[in-house]
Amino acid sequence: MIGFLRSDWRKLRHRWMPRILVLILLAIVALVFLGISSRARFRSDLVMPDGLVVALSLGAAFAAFIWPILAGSWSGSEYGWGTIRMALTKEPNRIAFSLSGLIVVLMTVGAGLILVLVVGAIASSLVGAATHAIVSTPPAGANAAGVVIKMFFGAWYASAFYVVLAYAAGAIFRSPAAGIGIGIGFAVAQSAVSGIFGALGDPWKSIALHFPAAYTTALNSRLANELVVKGPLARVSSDDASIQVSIIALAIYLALLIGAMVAVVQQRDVTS
Amino acid sequence: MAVDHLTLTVNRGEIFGFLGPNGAGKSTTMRMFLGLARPTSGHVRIMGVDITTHLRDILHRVGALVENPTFYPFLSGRENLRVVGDLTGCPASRIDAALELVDMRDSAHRAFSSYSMGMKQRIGVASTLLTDPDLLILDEPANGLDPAGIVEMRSLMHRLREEGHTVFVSSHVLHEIEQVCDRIAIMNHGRVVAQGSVQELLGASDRIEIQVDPVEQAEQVLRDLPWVNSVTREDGSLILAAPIKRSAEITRILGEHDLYPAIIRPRQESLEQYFLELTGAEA
Repeated sequence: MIGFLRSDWRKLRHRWMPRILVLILLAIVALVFLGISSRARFRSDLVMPDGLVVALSLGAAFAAFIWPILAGSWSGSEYGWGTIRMALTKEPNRIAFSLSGLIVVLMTVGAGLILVLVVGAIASSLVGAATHAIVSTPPAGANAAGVVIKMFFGAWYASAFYVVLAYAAGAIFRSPAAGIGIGIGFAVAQSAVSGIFGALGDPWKSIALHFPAAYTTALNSRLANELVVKGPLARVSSDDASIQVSIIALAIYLALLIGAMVAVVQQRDVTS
Repeated sequence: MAVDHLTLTVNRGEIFGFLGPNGAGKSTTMRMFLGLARPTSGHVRIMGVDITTHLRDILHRVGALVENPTFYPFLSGRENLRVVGDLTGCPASRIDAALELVDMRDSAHRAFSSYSMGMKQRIGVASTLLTDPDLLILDEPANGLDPAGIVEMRSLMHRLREEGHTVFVSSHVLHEIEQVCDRIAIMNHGRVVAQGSVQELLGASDRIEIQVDPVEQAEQVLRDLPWVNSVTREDGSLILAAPIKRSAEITRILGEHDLYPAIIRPRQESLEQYFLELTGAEA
């Protein structure tokens, strides 16, 4: 496993795609942040420390469209380039081969979210300075630093679902295009189907509440709501799952995806 | 079934050629040697070790290049070898030695994607040498090489043999195999149909061309000889499938029947002809 992690880290350091994707994510977060700040009624949610939570929420919201590109290409390209053949003839542990790439991509997501925090801090300070707003006071009983840390891990965990989905699809279908397409396509389809099911009412609506997106949204909304009590991010629907239920439900989805990928990679002959 | 009851005997320190038409099962066999494909039944043993239970131990003693050399296009040749080093745990000092051996030290900083096919093949061979393996498995190492590259690859294989490595090489360039290999195996429809030294295999099917008159009578006499496998006519000559060393005996026997050949000469087959005959492939 250590050998695979070392080699994946080497690949990460020399590859431009992760850097470009992180820059795109940061640009999107900064632009949306500044876009929201143009509305006076939301500005109080954008100053420190609430602005950090808002930035992380945005980072998690766009994860479904950014990280599948890296994850799907990371796993699928090993088949596309045929490098899986080279790697497994040096070190035959297929499970370690599958998981090390996933770990490195998830670490990249973590690094990306740290940079999102930095961009959030800068943007919050700018909004604060421009509007002469003072640092907002957390609600009674809320520990701002604790909420930001929880929100960071919540955003990372929500992003992890889309990373694992695209990574597993890339490996299972042996194609970067399949990984990226399924990762992003699933997010788009899920959003459309959720909307349709919601409009149809029960029992369809309750089915949509068990989609992964319902849990990632619920997790981040509930965590953000511990600090941000006004504005759009403060809205928590009564239908939203609790933090604990969201974590468990996403863990089940993650386990199913990782299990399917490992089973396929372990059993299948390497023919590419 | 891609491969059936296959046993290959490769002697330590030799260059062994593995031949077969497309679809004969060569790549499947090589993948099974390396754990990339699994047999539906039975076992694969290399150097006496069952790879289903000791694959990692075997891979540390084997350097393999299966099909095309596959490396990360965005990394340089040297960085790609470092990736291999990460996976095998070999020291960085061996990378320079391997690059030197394949004459790629000056180009090692360039991106792998910018290499010619020959350079890619050489980086591939360098990657197989990092762990100083006992056995090298090279699948089509001359693929895509220009004539100079093929000559270079040939001398590299000789050098590897001199350094004590055993080289197992598959190739479609039969002329190359004939020149470079000590022993060969030919595979067809998933089975080994011939195995031995090149000389032995080609000698076993020696041909002798005889021009004699009257040809019908000579044909009758020669057909009765127990060590003549076949007699065919070709442009007025007789072609015998018989050992060349019997030529003098043939002359004597024909003379006893008042038949005096105008020409008697060996017609040894090339490996290419032998291969085509054995596999039924079309030239």
